[in-house]
Amino acid sequence: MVGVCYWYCDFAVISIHDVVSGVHMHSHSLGTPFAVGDLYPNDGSASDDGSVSESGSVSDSSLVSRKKLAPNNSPVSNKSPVSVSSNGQVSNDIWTHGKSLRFATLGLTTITIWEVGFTSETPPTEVETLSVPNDIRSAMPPHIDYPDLAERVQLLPASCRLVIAHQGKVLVWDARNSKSLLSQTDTRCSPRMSLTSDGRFFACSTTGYEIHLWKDSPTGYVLHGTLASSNGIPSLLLSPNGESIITFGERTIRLWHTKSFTAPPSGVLTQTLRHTGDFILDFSPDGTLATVVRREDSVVTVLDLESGAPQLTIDAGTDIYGLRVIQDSVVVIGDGKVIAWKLPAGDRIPNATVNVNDSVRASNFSSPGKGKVFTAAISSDLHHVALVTYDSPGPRPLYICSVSAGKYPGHRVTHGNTLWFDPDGRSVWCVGITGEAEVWTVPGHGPTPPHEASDVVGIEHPPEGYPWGSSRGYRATDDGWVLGPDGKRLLMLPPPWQSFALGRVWNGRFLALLHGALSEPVILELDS
Amino acid sequence: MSRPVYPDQIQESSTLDLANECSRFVTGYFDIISASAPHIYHSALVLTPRTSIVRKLYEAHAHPFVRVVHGALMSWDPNTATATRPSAIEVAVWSQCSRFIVITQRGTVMVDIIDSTTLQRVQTLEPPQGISTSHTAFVFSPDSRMLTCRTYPSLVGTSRRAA
Repeated sequence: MVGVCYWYCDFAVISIHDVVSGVHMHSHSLGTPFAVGDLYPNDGSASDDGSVSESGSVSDSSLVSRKKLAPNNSPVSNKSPVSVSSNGQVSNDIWTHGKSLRFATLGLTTITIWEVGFTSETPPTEVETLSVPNDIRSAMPPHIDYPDLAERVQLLPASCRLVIAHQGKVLVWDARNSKSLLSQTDTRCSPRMSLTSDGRFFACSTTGYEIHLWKDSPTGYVLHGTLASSNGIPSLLLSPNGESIITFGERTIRLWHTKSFTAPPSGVLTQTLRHTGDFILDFSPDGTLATVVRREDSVVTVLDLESGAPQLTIDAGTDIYGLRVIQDSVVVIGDGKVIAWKLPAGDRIPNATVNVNDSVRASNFSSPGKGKVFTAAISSDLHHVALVTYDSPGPRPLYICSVSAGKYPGHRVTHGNTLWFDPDGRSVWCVGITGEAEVWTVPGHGPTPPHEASDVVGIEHPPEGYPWGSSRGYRATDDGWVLGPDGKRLLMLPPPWQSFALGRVWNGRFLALLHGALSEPVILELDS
Repeated sequence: MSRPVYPDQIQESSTLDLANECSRFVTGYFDIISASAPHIYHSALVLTPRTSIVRKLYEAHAHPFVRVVHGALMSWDPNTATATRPSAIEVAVWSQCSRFIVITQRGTVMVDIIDSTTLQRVQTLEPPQGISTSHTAFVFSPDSRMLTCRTYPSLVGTSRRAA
């Protein structure tokens, strides 16, 4: 047989085909409704010219085989699959053993290892059956459909390791030696996990925006290091050699070297890390200062744009959901509070600290209803506050209230998560991650508060006074260039620094980058 | 001051440090270098961490059009490479040699093979007509020259990756 052999399994049928000729060798039914995903060839030397590329270069790729494997079209497809009694679900992992394939099925009480020959039509034979201990059995999800099953339960047949992530528990079990290798109870553990093919490393992500890397040892898996994830709870995948790990979520893929994982401090699993890049920033109108706060933090830092150094630290004494510089004051929206401080001017004392007692204005307003405040904004005349609250995934309520009256004349549902009042305070832009803004009319400036969104507009070219566009003609392109007013390429941002328009704040010659891949805001001064 | 010696590891040296730094510089700013070589001096060197040997050696040659006011990197990020794709990534699979990664993205049937050092696309494969890449499983052959995919409904394609 020439070429690469692979197994194919759909609706519990494992089929062996010769890829190059397309010949269907034989099929076997396992009597389970679950499809499986991975395909493994039988050896590493198969190639049409007998050589193995060492250069790693990729060229002249072509589709060498395209076969429909439905029984009626397969060359030897009139053979009926041979049924094999199998109790449970076929694992996602399958591996080769000489001239045969081995795979595993996972049942509620047993793991069964099977072997099937490439060229022999003998049905798969049972190699080994291992019982699943009670603690593993109780941790297993009772009714999970594929592909959730594949995500929550993984089997590494080469070393007979079973991994289960379910309801905040991560268990790794050596089925052959009936030994628990890892038993971690952490409500923040997510089912996203990966094992190296030799079982040397195991990685899982957590809802605390961390990735945990575990290393095999004679006593089981020990925590080798942790990594802060900048893009939520990513999917992750260890390289076969265990040297690298990729994380991917949405449009971004990131590469890490496992050597770069930091040794965890004691008690790391009980720590809560904040999302690394959820900042709110506004510039002073005269372009000399920038104010920045991490969302839901209570400390505002005022940065001097000439030196980049902190000029003032403000302890607001409340979680902050919105911030805006209005004339010579910085105004924050906290939990039911609007507080303002004068910005430093004239002879400044570097890095002074003030608190709520030093504020020049403090107003209270009542909570808008159920749900936690997610984001907030205030109008430039300080008359209105807009709030988006979060109760459950999906569209969220938008409230616009009068600060003086403390009233909420109803709410509307929005898909946006970033708010900005227009300069005259007559409307609120509520911007979603897609970069489209719903424009809402502020109560008091229209007949029914708040108005239905009158318009949905893009934010790439907003009117003057909005933070997502430069009033001086600078712009950022989709491929990472920052262009001057004359179109000159001033800077190319590397991928971690690139973002949607929502992650950028412009003011005069200054551009701030705020998005999630950055551990702190980056402020750039551009050539004029 | 003498450098530490690790019996079973390569001894540290300033040359090795420089080589590692150069590797980080090239992989970290691969997009910039490949898009416009002059922006090594306009962009990459400006954004390079302040403690980097590469920056110390070549900073005098930089010709920036921007100033980093705040947030400049002090040292290299542990994230060695990042790539942003046009749409959400759905499937990623390593090659057996750990040198390539195959990815599929939402809204396209095309399958990209990317380099595992720079995360740059090195090949785009088109699956057979009429099938979606959703719920597709991929596996490289052990020599990483062949890529096999399975998808619904029961279609299998095998592509030759390398020359």
